[in-house]
Amino acid sequence: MADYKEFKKVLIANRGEIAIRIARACKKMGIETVTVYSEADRNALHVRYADEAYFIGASPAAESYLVIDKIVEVALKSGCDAVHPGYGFLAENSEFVKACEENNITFIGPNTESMYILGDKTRARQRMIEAQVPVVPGMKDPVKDLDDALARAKEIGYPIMFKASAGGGGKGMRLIASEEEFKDVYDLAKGEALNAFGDDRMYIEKAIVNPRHVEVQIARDKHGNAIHLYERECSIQRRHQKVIEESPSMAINDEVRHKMGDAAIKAVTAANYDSVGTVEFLVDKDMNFYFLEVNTRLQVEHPVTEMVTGIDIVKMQIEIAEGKPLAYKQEDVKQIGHALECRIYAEDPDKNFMPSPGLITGLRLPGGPGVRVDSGVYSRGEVPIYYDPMVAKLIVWDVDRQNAIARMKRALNEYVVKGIKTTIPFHQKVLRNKDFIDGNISTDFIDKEVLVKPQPREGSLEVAIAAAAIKEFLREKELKKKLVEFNETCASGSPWKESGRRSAMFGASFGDIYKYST
Amino acid sequence: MKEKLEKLKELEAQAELGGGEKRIEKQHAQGKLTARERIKLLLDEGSFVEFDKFVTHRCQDFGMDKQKILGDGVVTGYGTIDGRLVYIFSQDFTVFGGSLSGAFAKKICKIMDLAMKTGAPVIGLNDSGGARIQEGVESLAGYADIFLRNVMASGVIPQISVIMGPTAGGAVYSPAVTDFTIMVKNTSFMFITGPDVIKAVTGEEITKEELGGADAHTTKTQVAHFAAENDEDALMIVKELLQFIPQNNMEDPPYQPTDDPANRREESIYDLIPSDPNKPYNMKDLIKKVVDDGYFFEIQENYAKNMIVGFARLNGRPIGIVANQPQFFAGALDYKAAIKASRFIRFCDAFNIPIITLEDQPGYMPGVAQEHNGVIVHGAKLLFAYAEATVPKITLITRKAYGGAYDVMASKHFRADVNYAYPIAEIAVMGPDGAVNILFRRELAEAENPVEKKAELVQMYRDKFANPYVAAGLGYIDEVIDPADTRLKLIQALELTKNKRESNPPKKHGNIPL
Amino acid sequence: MAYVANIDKVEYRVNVKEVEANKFEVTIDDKSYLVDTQLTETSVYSLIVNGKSYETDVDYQDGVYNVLTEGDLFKIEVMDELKKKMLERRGGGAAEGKQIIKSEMPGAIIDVKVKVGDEVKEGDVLLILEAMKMQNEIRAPKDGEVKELFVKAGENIDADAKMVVIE
Repeated sequence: MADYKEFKKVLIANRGEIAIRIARACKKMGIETVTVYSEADRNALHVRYADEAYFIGASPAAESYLVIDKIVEVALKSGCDAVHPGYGFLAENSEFVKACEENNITFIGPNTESMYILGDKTRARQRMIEAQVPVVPGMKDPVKDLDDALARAKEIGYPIMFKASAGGGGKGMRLIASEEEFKDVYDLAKGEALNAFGDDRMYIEKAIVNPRHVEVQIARDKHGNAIHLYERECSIQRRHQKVIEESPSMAINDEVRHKMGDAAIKAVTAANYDSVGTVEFLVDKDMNFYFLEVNTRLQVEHPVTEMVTGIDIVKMQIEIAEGKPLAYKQEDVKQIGHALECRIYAEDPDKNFMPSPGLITGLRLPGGPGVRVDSGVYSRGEVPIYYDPMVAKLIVWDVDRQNAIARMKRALNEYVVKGIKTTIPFHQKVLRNKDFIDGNISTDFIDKEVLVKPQPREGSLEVAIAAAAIKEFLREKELKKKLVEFNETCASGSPWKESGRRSAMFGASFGDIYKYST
Repeated sequence: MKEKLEKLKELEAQAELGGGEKRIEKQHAQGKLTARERIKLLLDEGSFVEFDKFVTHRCQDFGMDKQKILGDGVVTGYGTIDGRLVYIFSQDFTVFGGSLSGAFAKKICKIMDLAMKTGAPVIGLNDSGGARIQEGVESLAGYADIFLRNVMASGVIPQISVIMGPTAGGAVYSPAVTDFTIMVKNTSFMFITGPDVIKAVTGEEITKEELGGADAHTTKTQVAHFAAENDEDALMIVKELLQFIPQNNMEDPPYQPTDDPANRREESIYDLIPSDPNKPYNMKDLIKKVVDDGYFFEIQENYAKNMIVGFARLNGRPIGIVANQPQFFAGALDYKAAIKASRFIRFCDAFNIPIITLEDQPGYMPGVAQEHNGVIVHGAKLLFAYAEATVPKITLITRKAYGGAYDVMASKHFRADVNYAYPIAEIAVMGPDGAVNILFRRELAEAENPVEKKAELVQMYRDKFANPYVAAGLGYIDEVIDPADTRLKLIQALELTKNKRESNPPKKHGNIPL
Repeated sequence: MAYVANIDKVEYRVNVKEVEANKFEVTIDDKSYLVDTQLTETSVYSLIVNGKSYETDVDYQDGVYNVLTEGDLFKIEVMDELKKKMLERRGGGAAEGKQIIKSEMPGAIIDVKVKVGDEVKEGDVLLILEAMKMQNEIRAPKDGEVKELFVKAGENIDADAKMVVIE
């Protein structure tokens, strides 16, 4: 049975909070960690959390974190026996997995074959249909050209989703409401896909109106044992990017919950999957669920599941990669209480969520019972312009949803980030929304509800006005001080200028300056 | 002692009532404030100190000896605005219609003399029916005394006139000599001869407002610099104006600290200025992007709109801005624009305010009206003013600088200290179209396809001459700058010239072509 | 100092007086508060008002204060009264009612982009007036309907000529 090797040293091919999260798991397991960094990241936190750190190139990800050769080279040089890709960057890149295999480095993630099957949405759908996992009506293979696309869209009926075969995480998809619109954006969407994924294949799918996005965390080892760790509700999205995740979901009952869990296990088994992963479903208002895709990586929102199940998913992922059998059986996995996660982005919610990179001039993290912060930044640290603007995740746990929301509000209140704009105030708005509190949400909730309508305030207006007025008073005082300084130091002017002014007044001139000529 | 004090209080109360409550009510009914109310609004609270409260006129004729009012129709004194000393006189329409007597004039002269001795601005609030006819020539003498002092003080201390009621005949000359004139809409008028006289002499019919109201004098003539909505608004303009100007001609204009960063980049300027020279843009937008807190205080907003003049600050230091407005007549110089800008430049030069010139103009405006209105002599005024000015002169050519107007607008040749240009600047003798027509007349005439040939030649001309690099190569432009850095560059230039000294040859005064 | 605070287009009159170091008497409209203020981190102020403790995070940007307190963001414009009056004077009122657009200068109409009955939005180009070879876009001063059109393309007009009426 003991067909496994324990890792001694793991390379973390990522940055930010997830690199730190992985390093934490490794340290706990007694594994040495190696990190890589780009030019912009020399001062980053993940460099300091690891045992070893290597420079891998210029700031743009395409010249550093995405360069397979450089990362493999570091892994070999530092004697790593495995690589953890985190999420994003190379996490779902089969070229990278191949390169690791060729160099005898274990890729902490699924095998290439299952990645091949699941990484392409069309192939994945096909396999799921065969395995009798319910899927969203639509065409599985990529469209050939505009005419083909229009014909197919007509067949399944608008609205449709037009998705990049290589896309994921909300990137590379568009909701299209009419043929007119489709014609307009067809080339644009393909161009975007090409830019983002180096692959412009796209397919069409029926858009489910007011859907909820519920996903199931699964784990399957190399020996064919599989468990699910229950679901996460990820419906709170802004432009298809998840914003707040929670577990359990309000959208389903226990019966459906178990059905979804089973379906998720069926789905990954069909692809002979052997890592932790996430099976995403769309759930309609009648609790029908449709397979969407499998994310063959560690998800951003994995802590939500960790909080309700008490299982360290990263550790589990590493153990599976080591070849160990799963330490849990399905009946060991319990979903207890309620967890929420808010993704803290360096974005300005008042300016249409424009990225707000820059220097963090002050930072105070929330704490106390049931609060967890997975953060990749520190006070006086810089948020570079080159990477994903997510700087931290705030996760809370409590006995039930209402308590968890209250705790999250409390934690957000404590969270202070200065220097850059973050989405913290925006989260507060969401948490105060009545529909959110009632669990009455869908994936377009943010865009249709929170951003458009004014949300109730809890803060004291008088205090806010007093604070602003006092600050203005102090600002003016500061300016007055500057004026006094100016008057004391340079207002009297230089003797040079004075003499000039005097002589101009009395008609004496300085030489022949007036004969000036160019 | 107590008794005497009470007597003093009684007299003061009497003086402060002016022409009495009935007349005050009448004044209010017209939407006008009283002389004292105006002073109270303008000066810092409690800072006003009144002079000559008990002066009365000396006229014995026409029964005037029986009508004496303490103060005699004008309130004079000093006080502070934003903590800075100013002298003020405020004519009281409730006393003999604000008409000017000898004593009245002496009161004004007294504070003007003090202002000249102590180097502080004089603000005149005018609300007067004109000369006090009963006094005859004494009243005229009074006017002359004031005019003389206005002229002597010109260029020594700032003088500001606010017209808050009728001002007719000789009375208009005092405001005309002062540096800035503000008129209140609807209640103030300025003219030498009123509508009645005009009708009698020339037969022309015109209302007072049309003839000499605030609108007429800020759009058709350049008599007034500002048109205010009401008395309060007019006084606000005075306050605002004073923020930019020094106490006298030896001092620097008041520095005002700012937290607007000196190195603020404005990449939006790239989109503001079209490189197509036939597309206009609003120069005021550029000004607002560059100056401290976007605060630009424009003067003569509605007169000769093709030329913009006004005050702003850069890194806390007040500057005078002279800019072409491409949005209006393409920014071409006409005789009105030349008059407007040259008077402003001379004010800035007299009072040590650096001049920043933003240039985008296709040359002087052609036209019979222009020539016959004397664009030659008026254009020469601008030339004279720029050439003569010794304050720091910083010029930025944003786009077009064609012809003689290039020379005039604070070019290097006119002792400008720092000359900048944007990379899209076109500095040439004339626009490509005109130049090609002259230079290649024969080629164009002989060409098979003149339109095509012309386009080709225009392009050639554009490539070769219509850029800043020819001028920069000769040292006429010191630096070709990135438009986004305009603010920083102007501030640098201002810093480097802050102690500048330069002088003109000794002379009584130049003979500016008036 | 007397200020006018503007939040969500509602104005409050505010007076701030420094009573002693770090203690301010703040009057908002008619209510007066004694506020003990301490700057703690970069721009985080601890305020104690009548014994109640508040934490406010105050950021100043382009004349607007972003105040974060109890999880709420307030955007407050604070201006001293005099400055506000000056600004108002310069700002002028928004265009209202019937707008007669006249030419500010003589020139040639080279293009008319609207016709009578068109709905226009503020800032829409109505016509192009060429003067001194410069093509000036004449824009709508407000939203409305084109009621009358006095000019056509190719026509030369004088200064102050009526061009368009928008209502």
